Amino acid sequence: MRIKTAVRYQINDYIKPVLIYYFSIFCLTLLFGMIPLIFGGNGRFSLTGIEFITSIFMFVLGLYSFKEVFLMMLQNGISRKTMFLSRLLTMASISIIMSIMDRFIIIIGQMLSKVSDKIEITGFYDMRFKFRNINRILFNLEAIFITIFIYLALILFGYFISSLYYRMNKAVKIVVSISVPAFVFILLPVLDYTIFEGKLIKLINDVLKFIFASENPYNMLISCILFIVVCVVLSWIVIRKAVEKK
Amino acid sequence: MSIEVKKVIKNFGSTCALDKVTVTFEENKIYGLLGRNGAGKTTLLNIITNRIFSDAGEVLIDGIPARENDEALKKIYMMSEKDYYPANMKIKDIFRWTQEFYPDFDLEYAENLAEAFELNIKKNVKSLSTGYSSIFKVIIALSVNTPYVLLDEPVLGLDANHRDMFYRYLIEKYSETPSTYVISTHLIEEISNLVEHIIIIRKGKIIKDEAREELMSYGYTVSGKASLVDEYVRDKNVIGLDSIGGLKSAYVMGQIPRDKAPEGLEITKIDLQKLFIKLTDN
Repeated sequence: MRIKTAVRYQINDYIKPVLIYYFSIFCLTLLFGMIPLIFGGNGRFSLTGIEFITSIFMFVLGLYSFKEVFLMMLQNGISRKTMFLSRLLTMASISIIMSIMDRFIIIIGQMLSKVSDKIEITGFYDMRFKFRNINRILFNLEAIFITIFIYLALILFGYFISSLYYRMNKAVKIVVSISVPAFVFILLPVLDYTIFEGKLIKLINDVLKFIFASENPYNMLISCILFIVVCVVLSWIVIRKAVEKK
Repeated sequence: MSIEVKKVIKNFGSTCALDKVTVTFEENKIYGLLGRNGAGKTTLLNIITNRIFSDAGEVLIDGIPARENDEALKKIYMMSEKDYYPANMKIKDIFRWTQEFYPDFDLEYAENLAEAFELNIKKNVKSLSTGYSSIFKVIIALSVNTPYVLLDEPVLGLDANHRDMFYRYLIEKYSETPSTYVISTHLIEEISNLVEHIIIIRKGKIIKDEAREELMSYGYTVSGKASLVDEYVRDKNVIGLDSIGGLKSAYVMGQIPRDKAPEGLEITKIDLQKLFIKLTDN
């Protein structure tokens, strides 16, 4: 019973930013899509890979308001276990909704592209896996299914980072904020060059190729599921002992 | 039916905030939780409500362990000095959500109280003054109808009129639908006639856990002409003195004398605040 209320509260918390996001996408599409139609000329409106924009939005949504929701749940006598489970359910629901919404926009965009060659709206999934030999309905369903996991992975990653930052004190926050980018962008290339003779970067490239450059979308799905599992475990470790902070 | 705190220990670094605290809050009683700043009052309430965790010991609510237990936690509402509500949320939305989380929350009663306190429920939390921030939380606490209501500094920032209103509504609510109220406050005199049981905490330890009447019998006040008072209390344990003009009040530790007070002197129960100062003084 309490988990339902906690999910309802958190979905309600997400509704406003999601509506603003789609309203912005709609307004931008309408504005830039209408310009070439009204004024003619050689101009074209092209929106390719809406899933990229939504992915960034999902990550930001994950980062958003951990502290606020956590304190609200504490105030209303919700255990951390219920808080966490309700958050997972909320994030899964939002990922499903946004994946369907995106696919809907892409399908509408593809219809518009057939009406006018001045408009091009294509999804990342459609570009990346256009050679998949399956019928259109199955292709769209598969795209929705896999995008759900991509979005869930990103929103969870954002959630994990925000919960981790909540647990840290100010000094640790500063150290982590500086040392992580420094490690990734400075130390890692130096180590790779001096010690690993380029093998480390090659390994990272191979992993990224396996996930993003493969013709098989299920590589991406498996990678997302693994990433989700890691984020769920790490987030729970962080949250189970989280307390109110002064 | 009670909140049982058993041998709870809590340390913050090298500071011991609670040292093997054992205390029981019985059903349908009003408790005063008293202590000096940093004594451990808020820490104790935060542990009961799972906002922080103890290092050792346990808390049982109606016999159920409270730690990470929704069934136990839904029986308690805690009003804190600190705001746990989203700063941008409107008060009316907070009322609505409180009703979702605590189904016995009386929305109509809360709205009536808001009107009585002249609280604009269309405002959001961050736009409220310190006083009104306390008022909206006090309104929720009075309307929530949980078996246990913990009030941490409920009258913080409230003017005398609003404080008086709060005490009156609390008594009214308690007499109509009794619950356990635990009031942690520094305004001891104001709650001295309100509470039935007093718990005094000092440096993380419970030093008194007694019915108010019992605690008040620890001492007495002798008032009258200064010279007569001085003469009467000469060989007694005086914990404080107040003088106005030629009149004097002496606060004495010990049982109230059974014999009649000497001519010109009045012997009454001790002032709770004076007793508290004596008991918690370094």
